[in-house]
Amino acid sequence: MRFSKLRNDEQGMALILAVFGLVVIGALVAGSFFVGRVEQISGYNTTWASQAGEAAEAGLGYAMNLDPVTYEAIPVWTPAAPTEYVTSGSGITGTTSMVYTDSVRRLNQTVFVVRSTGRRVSAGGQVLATQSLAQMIRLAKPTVGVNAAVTVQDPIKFNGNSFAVDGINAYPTGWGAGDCPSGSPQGDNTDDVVGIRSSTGTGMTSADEDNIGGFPADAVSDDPTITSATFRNFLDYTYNTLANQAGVKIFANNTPYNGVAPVIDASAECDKTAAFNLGEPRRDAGAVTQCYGYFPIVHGTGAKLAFASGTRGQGILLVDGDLELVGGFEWAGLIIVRGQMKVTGTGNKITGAILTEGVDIATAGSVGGDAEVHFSRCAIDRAVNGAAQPAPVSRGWAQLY
Amino acid sequence: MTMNTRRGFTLVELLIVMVMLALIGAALTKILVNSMRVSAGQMVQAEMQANVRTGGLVLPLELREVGFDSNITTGELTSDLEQINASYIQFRAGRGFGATCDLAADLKEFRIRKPAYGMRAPQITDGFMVYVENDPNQGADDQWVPLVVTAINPDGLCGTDPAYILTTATPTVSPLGVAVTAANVFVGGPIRFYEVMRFGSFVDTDGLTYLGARSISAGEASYKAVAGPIAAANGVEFRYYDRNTTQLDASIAAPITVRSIEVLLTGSTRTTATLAGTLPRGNRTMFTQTRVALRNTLRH
Repeated sequence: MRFSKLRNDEQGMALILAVFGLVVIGALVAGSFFVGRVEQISGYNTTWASQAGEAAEAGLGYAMNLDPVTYEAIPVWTPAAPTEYVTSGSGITGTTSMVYTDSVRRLNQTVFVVRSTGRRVSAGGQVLATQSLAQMIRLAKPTVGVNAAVTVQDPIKFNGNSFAVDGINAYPTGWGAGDCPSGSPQGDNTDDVVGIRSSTGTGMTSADEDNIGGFPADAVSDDPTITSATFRNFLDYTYNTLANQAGVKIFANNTPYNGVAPVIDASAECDKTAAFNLGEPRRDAGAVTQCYGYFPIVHGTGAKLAFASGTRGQGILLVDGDLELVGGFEWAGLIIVRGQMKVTGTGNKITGAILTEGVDIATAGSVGGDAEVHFSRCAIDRAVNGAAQPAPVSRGWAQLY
Repeated sequence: MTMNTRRGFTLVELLIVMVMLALIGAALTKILVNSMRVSAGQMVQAEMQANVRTGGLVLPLELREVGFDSNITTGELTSDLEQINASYIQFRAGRGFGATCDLAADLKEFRIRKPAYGMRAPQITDGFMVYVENDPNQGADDQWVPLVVTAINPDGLCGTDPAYILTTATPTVSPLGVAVTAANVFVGGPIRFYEVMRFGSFVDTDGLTYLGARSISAGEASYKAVAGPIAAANGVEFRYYDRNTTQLDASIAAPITVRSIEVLLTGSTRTTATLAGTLPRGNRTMFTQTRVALRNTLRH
């Protein structure tokens, strides 16, 4: 009884002390947790911002690798026509947490500004961080000084009277205004050139006069403006940079090529990856329409490149050595030959221009058969545009925050 | 009778209890003080980490846009890096860019369509550069040419669109030898604006050392704290690297050769602190090292 009474009367401090201790410990733990959590969130934010920045960089990289045709199709931005090319939330390979959106605005004919907004998103799609960057881009194109249907450094040996060299500007056969956004032939000689222009003699004789035409003259000889640079330096480009550009079709030395025609892939699209697809210069019933807009650079390496028959293409044909066209070769665009050029047989048709640097082109019958060479600004422009590459402008990168 | 029936504590019992309470109290106090010290240390440490992280972010952000000018006549290149040193750096820091929407025929007025992108709106103390196209067929002759802006009207218009109006001295010939005419500056072309900034360490009025920024363009005579405190000795260090990632001697290297900059920051706690709860207390430090590639120097 007494024992029980004593128990009831005990007034200890253990509980108070324990509660106090727990509160203190809890406060300290909570404080530490809070500090740690703030640090963690701060760290996450830094990481997310960095990742968003990298996503924006990826967006700039994507824009730099856009097909030049895409750039060409963008109109110059004006307040009245504020058209931009916009990608929508493109992802980065290997992750779903970083996306970018590009908007490309054309400032003038050659200069563009790309604004790339990178986002770090959560698994649920919530945007955790955003960064924006800009890059000015110039659509660099080779500027080839073409003012003749055929430009040479030495006299040409013409053979027969079935060939035709014409400097009057015209569409390639079957082409129309839809193929030539840069402009149609004027028809008033303002966009015409001479048939043949040479730094020495043209090789043209009186017997060839009916077969060679142009404006203001059929041919011009001893033109001092034609130098080796005419065939190698194209302002933003050189012969070598063109030849080394990505996506160039390589045709090897000494192999005669026959029947090279446009190729479509399983999706019925123009197969630009096919090694022997040089685009479609024709506009007739049998033409491969999907390849109308494909203007590749074709590089013939080695001492000699020969096309035998049934080969057609468009774009820029670069030949390190000699070029021999035996017959049945059709081309729309530019042909630049560092060696000699020989055209024989029937069915050779070049619409655009030929520049031949070869110093000894006087081979008998170097241009013969029923070869046709017609000057075409449209074909040249399309070929040059096909070689265009987006390139960063000096001091063109900017942080937009 | 009452005295006999009431039971109390003996003196010994009380003494024992008091001693025990004193021991427990001392232990608790010790734990509490140490814990508070750790907690305070953590707070100080966290602040320092945040400061160093801020410095590590701000500087690369400012430096990333550094570029160069090229004189197409002489081939001379001029870097945006005006002064480089191991302990400070002075450069043109990009503040934004916009596109022109109208040009006066005499080029004494440039209008920039709003919004101007970037960190902030253009200010009269900023430096300005206009993009000069020259031959549209080639990129090698394109240039950024300085504009001397004498006034800015932030409430102008381009048609009905809001615009900044920059009044300029006639930029007939740029310092780079390029004639600037209405023919080679096009409407829609970009204009960039920048502020010459100097970053380095300085001792503030509280006696602590900070990473500071000073706007040379705005004529600021002293630094303003950007991040810190940092260590009093070598709290901030800049290292410069060329295109081969070879470290340059900042005292003799030409700024145009710099392609990347490494920023080394040693943060220091504002007060003495301990994270172990035990003495001795001292200023804790944290070191960060960031390398930034100068994005607009990569083409030369």
